[in-house]
Amino acid sequence: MLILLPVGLLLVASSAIYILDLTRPKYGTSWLIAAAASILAWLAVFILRLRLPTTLRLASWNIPELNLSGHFSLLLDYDSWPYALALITITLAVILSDAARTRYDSTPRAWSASLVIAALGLLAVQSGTTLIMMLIWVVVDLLELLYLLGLKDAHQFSLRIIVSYGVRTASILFLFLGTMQGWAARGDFDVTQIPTEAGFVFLLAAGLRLGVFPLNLPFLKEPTLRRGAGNIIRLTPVAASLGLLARLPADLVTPGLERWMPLFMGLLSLSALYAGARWLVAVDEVDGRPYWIVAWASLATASVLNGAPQASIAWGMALILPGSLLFLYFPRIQRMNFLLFFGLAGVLGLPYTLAASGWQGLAGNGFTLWTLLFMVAHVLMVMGYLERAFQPGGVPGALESWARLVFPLGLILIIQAIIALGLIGWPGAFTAGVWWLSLVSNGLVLLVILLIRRFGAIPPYFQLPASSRLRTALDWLFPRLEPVFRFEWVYRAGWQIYSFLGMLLKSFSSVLEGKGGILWTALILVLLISILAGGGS
Amino acid sequence: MTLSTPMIWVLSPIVIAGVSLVLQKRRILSLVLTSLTAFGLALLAAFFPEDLTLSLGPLTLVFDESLAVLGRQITLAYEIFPFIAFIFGMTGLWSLSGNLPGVPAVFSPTSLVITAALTAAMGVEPFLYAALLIQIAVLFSIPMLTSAGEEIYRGILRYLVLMTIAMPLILIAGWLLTGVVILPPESPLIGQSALVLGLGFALWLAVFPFHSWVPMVSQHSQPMVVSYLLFILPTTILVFGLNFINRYAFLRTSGEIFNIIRISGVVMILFGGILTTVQDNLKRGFGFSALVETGFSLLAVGSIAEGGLVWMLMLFPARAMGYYLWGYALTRLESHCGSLDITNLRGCARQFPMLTAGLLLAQLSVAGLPLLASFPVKIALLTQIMTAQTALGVWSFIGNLGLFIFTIRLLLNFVMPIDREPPRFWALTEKASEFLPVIIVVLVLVALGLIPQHIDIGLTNILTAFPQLQ
Repeated sequence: MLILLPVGLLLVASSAIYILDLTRPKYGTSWLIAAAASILAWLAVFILRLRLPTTLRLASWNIPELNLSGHFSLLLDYDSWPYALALITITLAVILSDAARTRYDSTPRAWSASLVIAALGLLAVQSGTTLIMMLIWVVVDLLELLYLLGLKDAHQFSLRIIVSYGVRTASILFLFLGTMQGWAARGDFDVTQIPTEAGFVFLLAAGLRLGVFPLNLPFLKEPTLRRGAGNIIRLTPVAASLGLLARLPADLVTPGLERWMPLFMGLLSLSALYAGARWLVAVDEVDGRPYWIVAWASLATASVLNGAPQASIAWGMALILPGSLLFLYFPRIQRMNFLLFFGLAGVLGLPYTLAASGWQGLAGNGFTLWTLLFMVAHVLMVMGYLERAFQPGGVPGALESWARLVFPLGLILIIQAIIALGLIGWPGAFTAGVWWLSLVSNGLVLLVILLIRRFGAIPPYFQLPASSRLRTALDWLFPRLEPVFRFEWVYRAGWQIYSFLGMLLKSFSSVLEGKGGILWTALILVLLISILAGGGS
Repeated sequence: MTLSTPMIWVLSPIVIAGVSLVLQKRRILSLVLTSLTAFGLALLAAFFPEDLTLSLGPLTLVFDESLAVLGRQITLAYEIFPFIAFIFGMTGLWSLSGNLPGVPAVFSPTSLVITAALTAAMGVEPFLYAALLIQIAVLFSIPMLTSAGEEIYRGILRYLVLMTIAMPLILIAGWLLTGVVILPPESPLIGQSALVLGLGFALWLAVFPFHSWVPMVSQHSQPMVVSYLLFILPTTILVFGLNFINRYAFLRTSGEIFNIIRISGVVMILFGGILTTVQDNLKRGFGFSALVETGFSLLAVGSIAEGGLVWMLMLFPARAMGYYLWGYALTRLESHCGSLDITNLRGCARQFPMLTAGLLLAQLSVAGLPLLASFPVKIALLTQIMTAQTALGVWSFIGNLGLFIFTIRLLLNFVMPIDREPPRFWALTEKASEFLPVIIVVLVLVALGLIPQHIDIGLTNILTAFPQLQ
C-alpha cells in the first residue's frame, strides 16, 4: 500500500487547498499545505527506491461467467521509479519556486490542480496494466481539458485546446486497440510483458501523445500556462507516455514492419531536427517548450524503435528534469544563473551523467544516417539550452525574503534529482554509454559556438544579430515551414477524405430517406441477397 | 381466480396506464402513477421468490406463471424476471422525465403499455404470436412520437411500414420453421425459412438497408421518446430472438448464419459510425449512433460460440443509461437553445456546462470510452472479434470511432465562441433539478465502467430460460 502513499498525500493536500480556497482563502496556509504534502510524497518516493519492484493489485475483471478480462494493478519498478521521482521532484519544485511568482500565475487553485495532475501522473507512470493506464489517461485528459477551458483567456485557444484533447483521445484509442491486440495474442498481460504483436500500436499511442509520431503540435500558442501549474500540466502526460515507451518490447519491430523502418526513422529524425531548430530560435524557454518536448521525445521514441526501450528513460529524464529547471527558473536572478549550468549534466549525455545511457538507443544498431541526424538534433537542443542559460537575470530584490530561500531550493532539488538519477536511477544508468558519440556531439556544440561567434552572434548568447542574413533567412523560413511540419495539412487532407466519404454516405442516406426510399431499400435488399447467394450462380 | 405473473407484469401496467391516460390533464399525478408502477414492478420482479409464493403477513399468495388469453398462453417464468425487472426499471426512469419540456403527455402511460406488451411478447405461447404483440407495441408508440396536432411526417410512416412488414415475415418464418425440424439438412426450405426469419429481424432491428426510419424519426421526434424507443424495441426483440436460436438446432449450429449476423453487425457499425461523424444535427447523430449500437448487439450474437450472448446482455444496462442521459440532455438543451443543429450550439457549454457535459459523457459512454459504462464489454467483444476475424475487428473499431469524432466536433462547437459576439464566460445557469439527474446517471455510468462485476443485475441469468444457449 506504500505505493499509494505519495498519491494519497497529494490528493488530500489538493482537496484541502481547494476547500480552503473556497471557504477562507489563505495564500500562505495553502502554500504550506502544498509544500508539506509534496515534501512527504517526495520522501515516500525516495524510500520506495529501497523496495523495488513493488506491485499492488487493485481489482480484476477476470470473471469467466461474465466473459470479461483484464485487471488493474500498480507497479513501481526500475522502469517507472525514475519517472515517479522526476514527477514528484518537479511538483515539489513547482510549489517551492511558485513562492517567487506570487505576482504571476501562482495561486492556490493552480497548486490544487498541480497536485491532482501530479497524483494522477504518478498513478499513470506506475500503471501495472494498460487497462489502468487507459483509465488514468482518460481522467488526466478530462481534468486538463476542464482546467484549460476554465482559464480566463481560454476562448482564444478553444480550437487548440479541443484539437489537443482530440489527439489525446486518439492516443487513448490506440492504447485501447493495442490492449485488444495484446489480449488477442496472449490474454491478460501486465506492462512488463507487453506482447510484441501489440508493441507498435502502443508506440503509436505514446508517440501521438508526445506529439512526435506522427508530428503534432497543437499547443504552439497556449493560454496562460506558463511556469508553475503550466509546467506540471504540460509535462505530466508526457511523463506518462514516456513511461509506456520504456515498457515496450525490444523486438517491437516485427519482420512485417522492418521495411517501414526508414520511414519511421525518417519521420522521427525530421521531428527531432525541426523541433531542435525551433527550440534554438524560440523567443524564450516557455515558447520553445513544445519543441523541447518533441525533440527529446523523438530521441526516446527512436531508441525504442532501435530495440533499446530502456535508453528512452535517459532521454525522458533529459526532457523532464533539465527542462523543468529552465521552465521554472522565473523570475531570473543573475546571481542564481549558475544553477542552470548544473542542468547541463542532464542533457549533454557525457559519460556517467543522466543521459549517457541514451546514446545506446540511437547507435545501438551501429552508426547510421539516423544516428547522425539525431546527433545533430541533440546538438541543437544543447545549443538552445546554453542560449537560455546564458541569458542575464535581474536582481533578487524583486523577491520576498522567504522566497529567496525556497525559490533556489526548488531548483536545487531538480539538480539533485538529475545527479541522483544519473547514479542510481535504473540499472545501467551510471554508464559511459556510447562515449565517443557523446564526445562528438558535444564537440560539435563547441564547434558551432565558435562558428556562430565568427558569424557575429552577440555574446553572451548565440542569437544572431537582427541584421544577419542568416537570421533574416531563418525568420523568413521557419514560419513557412511551420504549417508543413505541423502536419496539419495531412490531417486536413485526411479529414477531407473522411468528409467526402461521409458526404457520399449522406447522399446515399438521403436517397434512402427520400420518397422512393422503400423502393431503394427493396432494390438494395435484392442486391445483397443475390451477393450473399453467390451472385445467383 | 388464480393469480398469475402475467397479471402482474402485463395486465396491471396496462390497467394503470389506462387510468394514467384518463388523468392525463393532471400531469404530475399521471407521471407519479406510471413511474411508481414501473419501479414497483421492477422491484417486485427483482425480488420475487423463486417458488412464486408471496407471503404478506397471514396472507399467502401463490402465483401461477401462465395466463390464458384468447386461447393463447402468456408464461412469465422466474428465469426471465431479471430482464422484466430491468425493462420496467428503465421504463420507470424514462417515465420520471415525462414532464420535461416537449415530451408528449401520453409518453409515460404509453411507455408502460409498450413495456407490458413487450413483456407479454417474451412469454406468449405459441411464441410466434409475439410478432403481434410487438406490432401492438409499435402501434402504441406512434402517438408519443408525434406531438398533439402535428402532422405525421414521413419518418413515422416509414417506421410503421417497415415494422408492419416485419410482422408477417416473422409469422411466415414461424410457420415454415415448424416443418424444418424434421427436414434433412440439405433441404432448400431450411435456407428459405432462415432468410425469411432473418429479414423479419432485420426489419425489426432496423438493420441496413432497413434503417432509414431511425434517423428520420430521431430528427423529428422528441429525444426522450426516441431514446426510450430505440432502447426498448431492439433490447426486447434481441432477447425474443433468443427463442428461435434456442428452439432450432439448425440455427444454433449454423456457422454461416452467425457469420452473416457478424458481418451485418460490422456493416451497421461502419455505416452508422461514419454517418454519425458527419451529422450536423444532434438528434440525427443519436439515430445513427443507435444503429452502431445495434451493430454491436449483432456482433455479440454472432459470437455466440464464444459467449457473445453474455456480452449482448451486459451491454443493455450500459446502453440504457447512456441513451437515457443522451435523451435527457438533448431534451433540456433543445428547450434552452432551440435547434439542435451543431452550429447553433456554439458557446453553449459556457452557459449550460452540466447539460453539455452530460451529453458529451453520454456519447462517450455509448462509444466505449475507458472509465465509462460500455467500455468493459466493448473491449472484450472487440478483442474476441479481432481474435476470430482480425479484419472484422479492425473495421468494427474504425466504425466505432465515428461517435468519438462526432463528440469531439460537438465539444469544439460547444466551447467555441460565437463569431462577432463577446466571449461568454462560464456560468452555471442550470437549476439543480436540471443537472442532478445528469450527475447521478454519470456516476452510474462510471460505476458500470469501473466495477462491472459488482453491478451485475442478474441479466445474464436469463440465459437459463434458454437451456440450449447456456
